[in-house]
Amino acid sequence: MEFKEQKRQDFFSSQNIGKILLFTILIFFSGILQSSLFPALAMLPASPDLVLIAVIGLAVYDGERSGAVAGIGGGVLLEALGGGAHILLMPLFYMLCGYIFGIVSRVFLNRNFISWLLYILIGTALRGALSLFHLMLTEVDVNIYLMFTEVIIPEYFITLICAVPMYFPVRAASRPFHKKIEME
Amino acid sequence: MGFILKLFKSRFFVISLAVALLLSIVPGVLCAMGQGSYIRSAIVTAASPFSWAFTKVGEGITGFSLYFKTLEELRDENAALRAELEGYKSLVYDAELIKEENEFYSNYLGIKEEHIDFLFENATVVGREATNYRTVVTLSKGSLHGIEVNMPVITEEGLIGHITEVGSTWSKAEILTESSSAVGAYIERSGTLGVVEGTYELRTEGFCRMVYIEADADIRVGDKVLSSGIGEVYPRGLLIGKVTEVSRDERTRTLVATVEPAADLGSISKVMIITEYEITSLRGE
Repeated sequence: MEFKEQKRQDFFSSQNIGKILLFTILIFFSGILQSSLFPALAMLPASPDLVLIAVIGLAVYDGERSGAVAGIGGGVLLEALGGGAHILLMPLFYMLCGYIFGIVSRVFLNRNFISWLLYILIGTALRGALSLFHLMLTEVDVNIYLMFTEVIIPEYFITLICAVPMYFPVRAASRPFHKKIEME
Repeated sequence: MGFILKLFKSRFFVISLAVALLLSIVPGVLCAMGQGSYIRSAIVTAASPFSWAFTKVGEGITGFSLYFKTLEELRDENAALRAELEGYKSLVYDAELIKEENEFYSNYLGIKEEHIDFLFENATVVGREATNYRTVVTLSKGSLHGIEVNMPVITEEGLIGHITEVGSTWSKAEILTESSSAVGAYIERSGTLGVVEGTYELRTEGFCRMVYIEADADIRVGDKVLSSGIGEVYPRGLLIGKVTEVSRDERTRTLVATVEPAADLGSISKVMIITEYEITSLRGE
């Protein structure tokens, strides 16, 4: 299978504008939920990375372009909501996730729930590695064991769990723009 | 490698990468320099009401779950408190027993002070055999404790009866109201002599009667009846009860007084057996 770039769509087409709006809402509310609702749930050990789930979902079901743009938007959103002067490289990370998983999904693997879940597994692991790397760069004393047991591993599992219900809104958001393709 | 090179040939990818890098670094650098990032502040402003609402929802859910957690904690605490309460109940029960015992010994001391010649053996009622015709109480002390037949049995309230049968570790006492019981008695106020005996008719009501009272004797309702010491079973001065009714026996031309025993014969639990006393009676004086 050979990698070919995704076909460009007319940016100002009504379908594209609708898609941008819908995806923006999806990413926006994923970020809001991730940074406000889940941290307030005291019974959860960590917050799931809903933005990553949404970005990978859009990349898988709408292509790498949507994944990349959604990744940039989601990263900026998360950095803004997270606050502070840290350079977390979130837009870059999410953009790369969206773009690469979008291509891999389109070219190498089928677009289905299982492959999407597999990308989330990989993406969350990479996210944990990035967070750890960032902490090791910025913090003087990092307890790697505690980081793994109290942050990275709980976040990993809670993200995987939340991926299942998140599948439906992500799929529903991308479906209207691919009905024609699905019918073909 | 070829895949990566192809990626970088894509204009979209290069632009996206540049934008992403820019947006990753510039806002952070601006914030570090103390300059507000317009993009960030715009996002935060737009997100604030939603963040607030979702935070409240999250707090509500947490509060709701905490309610159950608290409920569970309360349940555990309640169980612990119940267990503690049971402990306290047991303590209160023990305290009640001690209080009762203390009262008993206080009264015992009172009796002891009143009758310095008396020697007592404490006993507990371990059985109460009641038939239609006879009521006998079984006591916890017997011949091993120096108990003998005909020893008087009292409580702090008054006379109960006397020992009729003795085993090694037990004894049986016949109570005052039994028809076979007879105690030499006198009226405390006037010194009128008589005999307190049980009758079948009165025993069911918990009473006994004082007979052989001279027709002109001074006896009134409410008078205290004490043992006279006549008969060599009961020592003198033990409270038997009080007169509740006085009547005349037309056949013998004497007075008959109904006596209500001072001790509650229906609920005796602890008694004292008088093992030794100096025999003095009204007649002996």
